[in-house]
Amino acid sequence: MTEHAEQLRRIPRVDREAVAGLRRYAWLVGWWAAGRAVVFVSALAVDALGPAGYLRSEERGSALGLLDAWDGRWYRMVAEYGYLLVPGRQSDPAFFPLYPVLLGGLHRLGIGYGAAGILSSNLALLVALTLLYLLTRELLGEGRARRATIYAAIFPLGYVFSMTYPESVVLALIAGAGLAALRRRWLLAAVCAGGAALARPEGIFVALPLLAIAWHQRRTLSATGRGLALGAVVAPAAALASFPFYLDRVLHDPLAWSRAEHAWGRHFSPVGIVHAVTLLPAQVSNSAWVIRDVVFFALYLVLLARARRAGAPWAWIAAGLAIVALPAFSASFMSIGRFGLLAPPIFWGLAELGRSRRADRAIRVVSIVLLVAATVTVPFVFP
Amino acid sequence: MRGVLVTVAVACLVACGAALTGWGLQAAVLPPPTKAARVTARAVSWLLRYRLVDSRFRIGGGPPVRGECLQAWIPAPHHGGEDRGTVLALDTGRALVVSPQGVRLLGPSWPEPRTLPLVELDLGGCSRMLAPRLAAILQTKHIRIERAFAAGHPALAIPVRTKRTRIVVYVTPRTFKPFAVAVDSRRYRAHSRIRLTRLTPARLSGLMELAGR
Repeated sequence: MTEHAEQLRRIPRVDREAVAGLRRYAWLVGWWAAGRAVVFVSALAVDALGPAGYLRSEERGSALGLLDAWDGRWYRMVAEYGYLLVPGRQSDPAFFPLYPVLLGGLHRLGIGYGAAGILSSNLALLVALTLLYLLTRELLGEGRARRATIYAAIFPLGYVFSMTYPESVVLALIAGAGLAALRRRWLLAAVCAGGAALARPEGIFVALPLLAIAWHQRRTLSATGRGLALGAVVAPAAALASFPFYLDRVLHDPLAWSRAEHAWGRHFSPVGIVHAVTLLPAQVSNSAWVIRDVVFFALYLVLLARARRAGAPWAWIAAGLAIVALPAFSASFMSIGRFGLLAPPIFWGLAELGRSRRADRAIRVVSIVLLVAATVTVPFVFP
Repeated sequence: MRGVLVTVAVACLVACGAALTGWGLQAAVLPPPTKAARVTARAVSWLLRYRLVDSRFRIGGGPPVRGECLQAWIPAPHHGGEDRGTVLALDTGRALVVSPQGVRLLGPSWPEPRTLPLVELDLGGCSRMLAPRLAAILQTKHIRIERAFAAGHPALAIPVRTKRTRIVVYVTPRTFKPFAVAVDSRRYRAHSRIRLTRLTPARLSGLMELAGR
């Protein structure tokens, strides 16, 4: 036996597995680090060279303040002061509670709210990428899983995953719920699904794939197992229901979320998508940035179709479609680009597009270039 | 049958667990709004609910004045349409019309400091002038309230600082409905009693006629 083999034998088995695990996922950590490096360097460049006067002095105060801007301020405000509905004005009950709860928890450990936001979002992205990889591997195989994960790490609007926004946490929870359900760990699936719905309203749509998986496993589950599976399907709605109850307790208004959304210019109606289209010229003349979201909306629809062609289950496609299309029912396309980041099938569709080596390379290069460009736009427009 | 019951019971337990955990997390980690914030937000709600406010005030040692302040769509001669605006009519014959173009004075006027119309609008309890001031301090989170007496009644006082004046809105201690305003500026010191009033067609047409002049 060689000396090296002898040394390896002396390492405890658990440690060896950890080392092997780290090696197995080194590429994933590398892409996560590369994507985040692109975002951080771009943010630092904007801080050093970018235009003054677009961001609040609070956000200009630190080198990475750019990543703490826009909704980040509102999430911090909820974490620090709690909810308050200001009638007739944009106010914070429009922001779902799980992310501020996370910021508040980290703050209690002695981390500042701004740092807590950036830290939690970026670490959550690493978890999200890992879970997205494992989920995709189970559904669509190794090749697509790798590509989907890499594309998610460097997706053009993926700078949001590094901001004080809940998107990376929600993506982790959605992918985690799906993976746990596939592995028959339904209680964990319920926790993840509930958390996703409590962090973003779109999180509720994870119930669709969970329902499909539960239906598929129904004959092989015990009565208790079926109950856990059904509970996991209902958990997002149940967790979501806790939000109006909480708002009723602190603000005496269970509909505070809806009222706040109204003040933010979002009012859901069955014909909202028609209004979104008819009002588009006016919205473009008001702010041309909405074109970005219309382009991503169209791209997401194409990617969902490609994901279906790649063999993604219908339930996931339906969930992705709901995540992408539902915001348009509030009569606006604004921010749909960001909302789509929560739908794993988007990345599966992109992985399907990147099957050939040439397409794969092209997607990677274009994504990184657009990621830099999109990060630089943060002072001018919210994601 | 037993299997179905077990399935449903476990599912209900999981769902209740999700709801309770969600609620518990929010209640345990997020701070509730302060009383000052709740009182101020409620006062804003009251102000936004009424389009007409009746007032009685006296500026410095001047005579008592009655006012009625309307929030409405008022004629906009420069584009031929209508703009959201405010009309404050005083029983002295003086009136102020506030539109996006600025403040227009009607009736008897004399050389006066620029702050006088602003002081009159605040004292008149013009709801869409006062409400944004209160909402603005709500968003800064630097709010405080004090116990006070106003117009002979116990009240909660919400102080608001603006560029030129210091305003105090007095609300009832139980319903938090605004009922008095105090304005303190370099030149003027005044109190008013305000009453949020239901708008009737007769009063609307009278005030709109004034705004259209």
